Amino acid sequence: MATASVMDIVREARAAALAFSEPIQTAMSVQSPSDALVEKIKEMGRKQSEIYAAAHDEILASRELDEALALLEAATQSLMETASVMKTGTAILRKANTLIGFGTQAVNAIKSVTS
Amino acid sequence: MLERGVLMRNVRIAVAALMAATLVSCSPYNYSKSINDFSNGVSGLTGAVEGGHQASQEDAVAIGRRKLVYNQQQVTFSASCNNGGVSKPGEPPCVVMAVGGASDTRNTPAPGPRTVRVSKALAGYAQGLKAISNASDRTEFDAEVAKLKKSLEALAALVPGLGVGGAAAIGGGINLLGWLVGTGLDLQRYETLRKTVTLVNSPVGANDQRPLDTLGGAMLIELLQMQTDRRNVLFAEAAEIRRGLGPGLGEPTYRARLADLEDVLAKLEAVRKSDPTAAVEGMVAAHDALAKALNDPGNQAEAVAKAVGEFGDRVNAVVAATSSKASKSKN
Repeated sequence: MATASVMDIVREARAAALAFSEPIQTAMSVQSPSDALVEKIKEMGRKQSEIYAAAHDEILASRELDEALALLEAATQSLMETASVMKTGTAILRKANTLIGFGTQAVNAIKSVTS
Repeated sequence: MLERGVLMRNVRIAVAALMAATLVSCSPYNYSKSINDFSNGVSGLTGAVEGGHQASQEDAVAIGRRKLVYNQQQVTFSASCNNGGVSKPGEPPCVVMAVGGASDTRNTPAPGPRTVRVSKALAGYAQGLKAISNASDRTEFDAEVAKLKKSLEALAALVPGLGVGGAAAIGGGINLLGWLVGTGLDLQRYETLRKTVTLVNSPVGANDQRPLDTLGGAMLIELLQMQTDRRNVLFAEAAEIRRGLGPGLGEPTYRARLADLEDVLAKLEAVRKSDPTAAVEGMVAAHDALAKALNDPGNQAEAVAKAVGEFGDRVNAVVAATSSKASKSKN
């Protein structure tokens, strides 16, 4: 059964936290705020933080996140494996070149001795 | 007869040109720069989570130090300074603190294992895209094929009876074989790139969501929470410094405290200017543009470059907000 999606949780959390943004901005525009007003601003900020913390916990516990992580990790492995084929081919060619170089030197040496 | 020969030659040229055009349009290296920039943006975004936690820790240390200076308190060290061993993860740092004061404000919790896994998965995927579209791999492969051609030509020239013509024919064969293998590997890379990006861009699972939306959402909520926490801490600190600023402090003290306040406000301004939502949306949009381009390679490179460029700009603001250095009291 489908539950609230991660994007839905984010959207709801943002909307709930944004409800505090305007009162915070209004309070912060006061040039010499009283201690009580400063405390009120702090309290509204804490509430915003609590909203995000709750949403964060909900997202981290969601099955959707597990599915997305598994897919992305498998996708990464596929990319890396395919990318490594050409690098392996280059490494094999490099070794072959070294060996052929030795072979050519050896043949040249034999030729110089026998001629 | 002659006309037929010319016609066949033209047909062969046209087929070769068409094949070459197809191979060029399906090259995994067409989007190398954009993918490289995308990867850097994702690294910046995932690094911002780590950087944000580090910045919060630095804020707490700076605030603690500022309080010591303003109140001229007696100091001691935190217990972790002499625990007799190597520092463990999550252990409070070794810092100076007020006698009788708590050090818990300096022990901002590190990102949890699930958050770290999200960051690593995104960064790893971006690295995978970068690896498969790395054009220098093909350049290195071609260079080794060219060396092999020369080496075999030199060796073949030593074989009695083969002659220069035989050696050249072997060299030509190696060139052709190298080109065929290299082109085949390029096509394999392109197809893996296209299929993987398309898969990551498609809805999956019970909630029918795109994996990048899901992981981007997880990262976004982490960044939003961190941004809010940091803004709260910096605002409280600014309010505290402002409260103590006024006549009667003496000019040097007033000047130093004013500089402290300006430091804190500069950090607040960086936090205010950063928009994690836009940055994460930029990441998803850039990936979306790449998926579209890979499935319809007709002149989409510009759209990808534009989306990636916008993503990069937004990430830079987030990184700036999460990596500002702790202020040092001028007192």
